[in-house]
Amino acid sequence: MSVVHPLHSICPYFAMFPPGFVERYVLAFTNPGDIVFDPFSGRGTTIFESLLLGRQAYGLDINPVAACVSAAKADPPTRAALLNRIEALKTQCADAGVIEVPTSEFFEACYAPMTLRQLVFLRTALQWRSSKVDRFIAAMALGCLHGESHKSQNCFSNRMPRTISTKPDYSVRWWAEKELVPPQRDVFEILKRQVDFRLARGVPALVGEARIGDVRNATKMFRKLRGQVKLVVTSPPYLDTTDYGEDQWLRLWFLGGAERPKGRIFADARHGTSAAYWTFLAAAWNGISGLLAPDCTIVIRIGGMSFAPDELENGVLTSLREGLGSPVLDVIQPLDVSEIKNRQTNVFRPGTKGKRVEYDFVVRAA
Amino acid sequence: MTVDNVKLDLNNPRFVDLSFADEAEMIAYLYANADIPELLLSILNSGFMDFEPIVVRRGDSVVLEGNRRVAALRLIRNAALREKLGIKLPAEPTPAAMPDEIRAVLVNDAAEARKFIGFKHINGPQKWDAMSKAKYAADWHADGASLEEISRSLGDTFNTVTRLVEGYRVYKQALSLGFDPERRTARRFAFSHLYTALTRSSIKQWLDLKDDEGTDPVPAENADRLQKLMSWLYGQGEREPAVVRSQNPDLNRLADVIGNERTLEMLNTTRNLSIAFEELEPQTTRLENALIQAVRHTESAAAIVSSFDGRASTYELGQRLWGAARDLFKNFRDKRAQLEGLDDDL
Repeated sequence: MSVVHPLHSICPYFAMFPPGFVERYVLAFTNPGDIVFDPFSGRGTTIFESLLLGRQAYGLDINPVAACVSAAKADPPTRAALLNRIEALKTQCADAGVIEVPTSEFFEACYAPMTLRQLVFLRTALQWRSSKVDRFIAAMALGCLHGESHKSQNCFSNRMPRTISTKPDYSVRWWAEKELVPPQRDVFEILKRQVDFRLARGVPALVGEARIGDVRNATKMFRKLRGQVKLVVTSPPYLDTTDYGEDQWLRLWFLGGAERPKGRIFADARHGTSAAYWTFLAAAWNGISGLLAPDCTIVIRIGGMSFAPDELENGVLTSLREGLGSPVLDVIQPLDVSEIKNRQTNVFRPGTKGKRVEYDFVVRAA
Repeated sequence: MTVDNVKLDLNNPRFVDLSFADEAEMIAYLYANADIPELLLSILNSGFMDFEPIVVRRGDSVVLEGNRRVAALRLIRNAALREKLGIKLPAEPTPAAMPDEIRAVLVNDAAEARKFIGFKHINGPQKWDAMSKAKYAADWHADGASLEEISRSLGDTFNTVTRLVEGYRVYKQALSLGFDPERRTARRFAFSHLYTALTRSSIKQWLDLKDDEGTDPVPAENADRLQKLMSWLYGQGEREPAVVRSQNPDLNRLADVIGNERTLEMLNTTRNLSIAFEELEPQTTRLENALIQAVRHTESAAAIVSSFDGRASTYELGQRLWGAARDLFKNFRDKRAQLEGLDDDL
């Protein structure tokens, strides 16, 4: 893997795989110009790395945070457009008069007053669903929204993990115990610096696309790709590992969501039983089946401390056979097992062990 | 207190391993190393803002906190001192810049001042670098305070304070063994490299690092190992350049290399961390990575193939690539057939 492009890390996200993982399979199983697809796009690593390698790339995610970040990376605007827009937003924010900000203890302890005012302004002003410039600004803001602000000048918040938002009550208690106060941060100035940093190494020549949506509707949503996807590189939500509605609640707030975390915003974000999980995965593969070219390769990274390895293998392969309607699967590479290291949540939420092992499946419908 | 009656602290924790013969020597050092010119300019332009009292030891009037401010005032008030040190003021002094008295908090000893000073410099607005912080914590610990007490007082985690103190003790031992920070090849002395390295189990084990505070942290028989570690981390003269340039990934790589006898030997002989680290990778991974790079570069070339101008050397390179790829793939096919044949035999 060569030097990682700075756009890859625009907004670190829970359970993400490294760009080198995508590079390996894209180069092995596709030619330049082929179509790569990720139905659980997350922070958009598959899409962006594929574009960098000269492949067409598409994807979707049901979580607005993931969809926003993926789409921003799939189609980045120019530096000039971004800087002009940020400057205009800054002026509008300064002229906006009174801005109603959340008054809860969490927001007061999380952001300095000026920072919170700017964030609340952006939350309303950014048309991230319809404008690619605004979407990119929103994605940068999501990446800076919370983090280890004692280490980085680019984090807006009081100290938090960067990949997940801790719960409000817990955060307030933690800050009070450590006597931590929110840093004074100028959101617009940080965003301008981010533009220069993120675009410093240019952008891919090809433009991709990521949408908000349910994997089960993927074929309907991407009709133009029917039968053409040559490679799927994806990582479905792991069984009972995370609930994006809870763990990304602050970023979801910034995109227009509630002021407190709401679990199970997405009905399939977390499955309590393995039977429900495999049923969901089968439906997911069925949702993309119409898009796949006859010789499409499917690469799946999945974790499972709750499963024995053979149970996991059996579950994934069975769900694929059912979902793709293909009784025979060519497992073209034996399972790769890798250990998950450096889980950031452990620093802030000791005891959150999560899944310790991940498995890579590489299969093709025979 | 009157400005002329207080004395600068010639043993200030800011100056690790430095001692000053007199105040003039210390002021010269502060002027060159502690942003005194900026402070002078600020005081001369805006007057002396007595917003925060200095901390002074009762009895001998040594300034435990506020040495920079006192040094700046000394320079403004004392033309003879300026002449002696060859320092010129950036602007004309005004009466407002030359107060006779400044506010001071009197304390009985350093211990009484510690919590206040430590909190301000370690977690407050005027931060010390990691080394000064470590020296401060280690001195306090040596005076009898427990690490728990120090970490509680300073608002730092117990682990952080422990790492800093341990790092400082090892650093002192390295100095006594002849390590010379002035001969480092790294641009700046990153103390964090050392105290982070000491948390890696492979390095701890290799040095046989002792927790017993009564003795040197690294046993005498491993003195040469400690010297090597310091040399790899920071360099010692041109013939021993540092091999660690960044904490990530270099320091992690160093820890991995030290944890393996073969790669450690390779680092000893080549002094090349990348070469030693590559040896750690399984051959299969190296093969795949080499192929990924080869495909990447071939695709990059293919994307601009229309620029081929018929040059003989370019043509030959293309042919060479074709031949090398063909031979490589033939080897793969033969090996796979062989492996599948073996499977059949089983």
